[in-house]
Amino acid sequence: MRRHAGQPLARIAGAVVLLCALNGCELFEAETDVRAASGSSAAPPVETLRARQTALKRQLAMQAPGGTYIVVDTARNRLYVKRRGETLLTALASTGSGTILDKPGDAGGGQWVFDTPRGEFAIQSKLVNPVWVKPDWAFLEEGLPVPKDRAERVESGILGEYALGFGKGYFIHGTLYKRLLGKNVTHGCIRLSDEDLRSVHRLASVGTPVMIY
Amino acid sequence: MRALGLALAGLALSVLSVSASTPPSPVDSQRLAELTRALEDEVKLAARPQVYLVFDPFDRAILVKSRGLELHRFPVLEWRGPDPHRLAGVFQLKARPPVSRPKAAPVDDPEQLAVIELKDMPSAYELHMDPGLLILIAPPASDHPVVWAFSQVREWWWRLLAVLHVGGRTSVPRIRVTLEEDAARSLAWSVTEQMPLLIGRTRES
Repeated sequence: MRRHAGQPLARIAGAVVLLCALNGCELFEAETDVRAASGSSAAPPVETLRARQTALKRQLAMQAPGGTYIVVDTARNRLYVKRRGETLLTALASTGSGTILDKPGDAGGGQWVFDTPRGEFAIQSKLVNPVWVKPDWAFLEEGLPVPKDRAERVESGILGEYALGFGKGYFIHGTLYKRLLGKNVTHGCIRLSDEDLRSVHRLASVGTPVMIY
Repeated sequence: MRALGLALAGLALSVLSVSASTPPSPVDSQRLAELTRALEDEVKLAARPQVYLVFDPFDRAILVKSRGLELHRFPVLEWRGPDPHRLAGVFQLKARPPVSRPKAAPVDDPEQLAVIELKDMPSAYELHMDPGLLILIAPPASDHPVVWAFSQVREWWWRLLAVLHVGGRTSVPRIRVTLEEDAARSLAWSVTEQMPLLIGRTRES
């Protein structure tokens, strides 16, 4: 009788072991660790921790930009100009299309990837009435030969009144395609409407951080 | 009556003084220690010009941050994994979730451009971190049962490989995180190769 009574228990235990194997045993691990954590006496005194925490929070706050900064949400195609947490401007933008283009003659299979770069950058230049010096990909994408004469690459009037460079050839600039604002259509630059571009140009300076995600 | 009033006031004062001098529990100290450790790690991350992620399993949120500033917050609907106290630390993302990229081509109408949009990003995917940590992101089972089931199968697959030590794989901690579909896609969009991820407590309570 005892053996019979033990069989269901063994089955249950087996099922638990199987579920545990598939599902991770996190419950058991968690219990073990929580006990260990609760019993820990290695933590420094609370006063020491609070003082350290205050100092660290101050240090962290000091890392934040003291003045104006730009935040770009490439998933939602929004650009924000902020200062000390306050939003000064919310603008509809167009950011990178994420498309690719093969580099001709590149045996290594090199490609251009038309993404807006993610990370932290800084405004490096502020141009007025900028002209676009078309890079190789602009011609190749249109199926045209790449000109050798630089003058043939220059196009004016398509970047708007201003362009703010933030490194590696990427700019915040205007657009002729205003109906595409809010969409991912660019080759990596950030396009804005004329009015928003004017505001960004007025609010941002060389050195203004640009945080892109 | 006056004596009773005085007695009550004295009792209240003594209760207050006792509660004020009550030593913090080991759990409070532990929380403070965890928060301090996370702050120490974040100060280092924020000192560099970069965008980084913070996953707070206690606050159920994944934050996109830079210079200590919160740029975006993804609420975590649910997560499952080892004890969060053990997970704390800084990791680096090995690679972005793969996405099929269309080739750029000339078009007459710019609106007809084939591009990648948020809806093209995966909502169930794996983030492989260094040092060894696997984060499985998936939408809620109630919203997307098929996607969720598929991600569950993938989780078991990873577990099986680890158990069998296939390809030299040893068991790495796994976290399964449930995000709203849009948040999952948005996170996949935002992460970059080598992006730092801090796991830790960001609030005391």
